Amino acid sequence: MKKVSIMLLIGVMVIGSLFAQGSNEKSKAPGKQTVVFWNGYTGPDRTVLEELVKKYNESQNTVEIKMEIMPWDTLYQKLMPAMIAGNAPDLIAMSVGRYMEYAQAGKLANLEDLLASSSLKRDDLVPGLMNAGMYQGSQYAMPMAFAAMVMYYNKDMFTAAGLDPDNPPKTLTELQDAWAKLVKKDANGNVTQYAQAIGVKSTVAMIPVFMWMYGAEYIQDGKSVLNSPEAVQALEMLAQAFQRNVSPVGLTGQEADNLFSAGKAAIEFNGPWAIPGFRGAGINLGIAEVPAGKNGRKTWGGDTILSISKDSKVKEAAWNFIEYWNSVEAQRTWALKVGFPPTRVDMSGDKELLAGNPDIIYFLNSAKYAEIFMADQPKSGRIDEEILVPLYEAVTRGTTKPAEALQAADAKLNALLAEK
Amino acid sequence: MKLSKTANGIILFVFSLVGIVFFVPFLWMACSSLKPESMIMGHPEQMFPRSVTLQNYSSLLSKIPFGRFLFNSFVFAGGITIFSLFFDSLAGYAFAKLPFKGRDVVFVLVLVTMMIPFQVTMIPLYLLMNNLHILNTFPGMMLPRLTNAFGIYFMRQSFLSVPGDLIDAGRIDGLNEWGIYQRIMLPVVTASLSTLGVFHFMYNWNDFLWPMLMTNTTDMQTLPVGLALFQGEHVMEHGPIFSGAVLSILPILIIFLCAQKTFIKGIALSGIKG
Amino acid sequence: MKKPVTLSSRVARAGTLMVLPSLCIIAVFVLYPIADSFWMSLHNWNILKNTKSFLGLSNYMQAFHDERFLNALKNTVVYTITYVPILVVSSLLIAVFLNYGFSGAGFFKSLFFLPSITSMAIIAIVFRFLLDGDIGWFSLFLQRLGFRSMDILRTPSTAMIAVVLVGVWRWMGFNMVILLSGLNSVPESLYEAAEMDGAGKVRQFFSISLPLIVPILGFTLITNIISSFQAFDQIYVMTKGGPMFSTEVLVYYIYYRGFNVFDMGYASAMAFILFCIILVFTLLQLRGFGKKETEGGIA
Repeated sequence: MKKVSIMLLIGVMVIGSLFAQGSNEKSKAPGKQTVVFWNGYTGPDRTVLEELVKKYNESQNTVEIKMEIMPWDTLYQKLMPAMIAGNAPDLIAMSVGRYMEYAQAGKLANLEDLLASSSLKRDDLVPGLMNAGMYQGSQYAMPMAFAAMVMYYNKDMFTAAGLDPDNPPKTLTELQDAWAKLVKKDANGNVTQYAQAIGVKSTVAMIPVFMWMYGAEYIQDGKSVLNSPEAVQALEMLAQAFQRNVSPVGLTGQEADNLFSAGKAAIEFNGPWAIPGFRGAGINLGIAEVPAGKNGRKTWGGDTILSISKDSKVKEAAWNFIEYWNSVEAQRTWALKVGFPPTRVDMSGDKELLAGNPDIIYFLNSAKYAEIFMADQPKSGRIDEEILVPLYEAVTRGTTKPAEALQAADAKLNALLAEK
Repeated sequence: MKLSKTANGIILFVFSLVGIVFFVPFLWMACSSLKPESMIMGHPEQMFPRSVTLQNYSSLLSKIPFGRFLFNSFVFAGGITIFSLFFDSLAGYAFAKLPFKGRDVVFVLVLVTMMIPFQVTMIPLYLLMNNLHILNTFPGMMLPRLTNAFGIYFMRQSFLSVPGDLIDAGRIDGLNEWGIYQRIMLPVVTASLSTLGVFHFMYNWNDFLWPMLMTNTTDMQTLPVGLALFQGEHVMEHGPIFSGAVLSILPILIIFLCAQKTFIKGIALSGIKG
Repeated sequence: MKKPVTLSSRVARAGTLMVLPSLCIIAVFVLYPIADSFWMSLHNWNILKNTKSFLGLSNYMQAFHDERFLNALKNTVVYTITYVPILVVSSLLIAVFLNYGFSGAGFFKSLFFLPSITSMAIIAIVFRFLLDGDIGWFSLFLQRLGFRSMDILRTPSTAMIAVVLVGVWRWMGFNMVILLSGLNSVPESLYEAAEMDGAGKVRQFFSISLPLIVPILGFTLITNIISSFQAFDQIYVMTKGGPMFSTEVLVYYIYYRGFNVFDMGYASAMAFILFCIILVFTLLQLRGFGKKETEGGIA
């Protein structure tokens, strides 16, 4: 019977492979130290990263980087068990907002000594990321990828709405004027065009940008400063905007991206990774820095850092790679091919870079006022999920008035910060 | 059972309506696997591709070691299915037909294992596997799954409805318990075994969490883990993901269709007994 | 003097030996981790920092004062009482009609089974694209017909039913196959005899099919209740417990506390509370259905 033979075949394969094992983690080339490197650069960035690592591996005889790439979600799910079991990778890339929990738990290596005796200098690198990488006065994380959030807009939609496609809004007032002109509805009341896709959860920090325009802050000196008149003003403005259908409610970052790509929203705040996708989807893309508010302009900065695990036996080897990664050459390749601005501050005049990627100027400019959101908070993930997202949702859906919601959030935030 | 032509027609009509709800998502997915990424992102509201491209499939095959992932998934899911069918039916038969002291309590204990969510036990299990030094190996991935409460429960159910006379007849013929199991019981429940086999295979074929936790290197990873490589943090490569999904479904579908045939044969066998 | 080997003791020994392999595997790889988790639940255990302090049952007490736990419990119950009846009834109806063998039945059987062999992650992505209130195929289809479209996954009042329906969509085919296997073993001769006595199809169903499939129906009900109390996959990929915690079920919250807060002690405690609830339900059902099962074998 066919079924029996299939089962037999599978049976043989199974017995055979029971003797097969996963490849050994230790190095193949004699004398080369293996550094196991976990990161989440799946998607289109992966090829560039693999290319750079290959170049590094081939350029010298002492260190071999062995990468294991998985989605970021997966990486964090696996990191905890691996650390407990003593299998932690040597080199770990993490979102800048997440490494601190591990530093606090004593799982990451203190990089101060390595930095002090390195050819790579602290001042070479983006201050925002370097500062964010410090925990209790010592460096625990080095920059891997720096991104700043800029404003993307659909030039065709601007033209159709009577706005100048080459003169995007520079201030909040101008932005609000543009919003009014960009929202379109059909006869049945369905919104056919949104002004701006604003994500409230699982997203880069779009709403904080608005808060910062009013000069509102989140945490200062370890205490919540959420409940401020500026914050109330900012959220009231947003609540009204959502009521006027400037954006759909409850969007995740991904959904906001999809909305913009599909040509149903005229504006979106996003990072450099989005450019190829947007252009590929046929959007006539305009890029600009985020508008300034009356009380300030700040944009979200961030992305990823590199840490070395405390128990790693090849710390110097891992550090060697970190030096390579943050070198002008490597950063230029990364910036050109992936579109992220370099992690170094001495490349803003780099001709090759500017010629190869003209969009990068917006990110280089934004880097000057980009803030790594809640950089010094180990609990930033929880704060976002348990306090900020419910706050944003309640306000933008109109279920709670901003003043009330902020008061409640303020209390919750202080309670969470006080938790051990 | 014979149906009148009108009854046949009405049922077919109703089923077609229901079928649309099931069909549309797969149609969209299959169509999208043939669209360029720009079309998926730029025009997600469209169903059929304006221009058909095979690029997603070629990306899939060139950007990840698809063949290796496919092989690993076959070994993982296939191996577990074979062992599980054996152990589950053995235990299921005993629970159904062979009374021993404490049998019912032990059965409830087996059921209990279905009542704790895996998210809670997976960390202790992972640490156990680590202590046994079988992380990132096939035995490590497969051992906890070689038998399964659902399978045991299902086979027990199946054996319960087999008449006891068959067993008595077997004993009279001089067969020992093992012989009865092998020669008499198993053939009677082939339909259930087929069904359970499909279930085990598909559950493990699509399992993401456990293989993801247990494997570190691409030479051990299974298909769902591999396809996740197209899911970026900020940017998802939808085209290859959809084409990967289409290719993932095909093997199980084929197995299901083959199992159907055995299914029907099995029915014919038990139907005669009446 | 050697004790005579009776039939029943020989049978008992065979029975014990036959369950032994499964039992060993389960004991080592499932029961031991469960026991380990129970031990964790009695401690305040931050699994990342590996700080541990014995708490006794206070994790359990804490749960009942935890607003988010109570919300998750409520959502889980709502999910189950909506999901299970819809699922079982629809699977049964589909199975019954498929059993009549109308033309094209085979095609439909495979079609309905298709969702259960597709990975949930993919289903989430596809549904997200189809149902998106603004750019989804289905929404724009509605708009073209002149209706108002909305995003059912992003609206708190409709998200739960959306998640339930996706669950039903996914598992109906699976349950249909199980119920079909039960229906198939009802001998054709019984129906023929009833037909000759003048009984219509509906009467045949209630007097012949239904009573004979009670065992398999019980199995379906029990296993689906057990799994629906532990619903996680589609919520994790489609709504992440939102919008505004309206779809946050117990296992999702357990996962969040365990993996995002690293508070494994508390997460385990909540899991054991859930376990107790499931156990009670299951035992009640087993007793209820057990009375109706026929046991063959040794007198």
